Amino acid sequence: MTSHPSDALSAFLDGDLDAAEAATIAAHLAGCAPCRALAADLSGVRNAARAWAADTAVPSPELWSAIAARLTPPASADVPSTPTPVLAPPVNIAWYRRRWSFGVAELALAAALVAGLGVALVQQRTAVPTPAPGPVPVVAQAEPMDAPNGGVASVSFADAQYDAAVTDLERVLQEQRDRLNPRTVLVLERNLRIIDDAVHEARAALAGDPANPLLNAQLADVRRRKLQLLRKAALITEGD
Amino acid sequence: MTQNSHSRPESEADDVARASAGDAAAFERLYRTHVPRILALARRMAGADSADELAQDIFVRVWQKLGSFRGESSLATWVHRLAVNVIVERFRTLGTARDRFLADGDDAIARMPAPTEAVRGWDAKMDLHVAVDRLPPGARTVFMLHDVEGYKHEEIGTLLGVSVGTSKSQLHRARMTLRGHLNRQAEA
Repeated sequence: MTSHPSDALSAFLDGDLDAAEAATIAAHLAGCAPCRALAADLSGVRNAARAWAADTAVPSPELWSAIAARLTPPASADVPSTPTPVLAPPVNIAWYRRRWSFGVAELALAAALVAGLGVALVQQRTAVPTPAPGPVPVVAQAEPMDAPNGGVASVSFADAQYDAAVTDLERVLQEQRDRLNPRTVLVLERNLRIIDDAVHEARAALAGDPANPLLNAQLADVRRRKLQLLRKAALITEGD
Repeated sequence: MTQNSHSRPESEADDVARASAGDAAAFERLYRTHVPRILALARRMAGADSADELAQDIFVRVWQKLGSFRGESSLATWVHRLAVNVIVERFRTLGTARDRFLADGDDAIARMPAPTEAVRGWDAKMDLHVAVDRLPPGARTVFMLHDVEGYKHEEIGTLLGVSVGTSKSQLHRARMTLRGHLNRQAEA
């Protein structure tokens, strides 16, 4: 067996041998059918692997939401010179002092929070015992956002009253749509879709486990955030 | 509300510039373009169970590092390289690359078939997926990096913290094991 240079065949096929070694292997292959067959097999494996590199995969709809929830301003971003920053500022910023400065940033943060909740809901439904590392820190950032208002409250989340409040705000936004920056509108629409998806996820999860207190709390939280987002968007139209 | 009818397609270069400045919508467009290949990369290198979580980490890293992209290679190549780095880092958190190689032992070599007249004509691609999953971790990683992803042994050595010779021997070990497996599949 030692007379067969099988250990060197991969390097030979890859061109990793020097000229003298390669010539020796080539001479052996010319007279050894088993080694030629082995070399052909190894080459076949290599070629099959190369074809594998072109594979693609279809991502789940939740993947982008999970990523978006983890995006914070990149270090290289020149945020102050950007007219309409689309990402949230650090959560400890005193944004609440700028009454009419709600913009895309706050809306994006709200969406990120809700997206995190949506992922958490999916995980809850699939009975994963520990929270996912991605969304958790983002959800934890929710409190500073709520703090300035001390909670939005005063609207029950019983369906009829909640739906009426949401409908009113959506009507206001629709009427005032032209007063908003088109880019803000785009972000708002996208964020509302994310929230609606999260609500849908929560309801679907509750359909299978209606008494689950965590799911009920999360559904209420997602709906509360939708109301918050709509209210803030309505404030923007007033401020503009 | 309806979509803004005035929106226009953005070039990838525009989106890179916008995303580097913090534009998440531009970054999402880049994500949509590159995620099919990157998710497939994560699946074949780390397995389906870890792929989504790795893809998250990869694109968060892309977001963080996009400002350093200078266009010296295509964005696809840049993202791919960055993705491999993230995946290898994950391997390191699970156990150093060197440990993974040492843990391979000689089992794979022991299973190597002797050079014999081979039976060929197997469904290479389908069987390869199964066979690669059965490789020892070190040989699997080198095989994926070299034969699938196109890395050179020197680059693999740097990435994994092993010598070029180790990378070469692991690659040969992987090919021999796969060849043996695939031949057995063909004979069955």
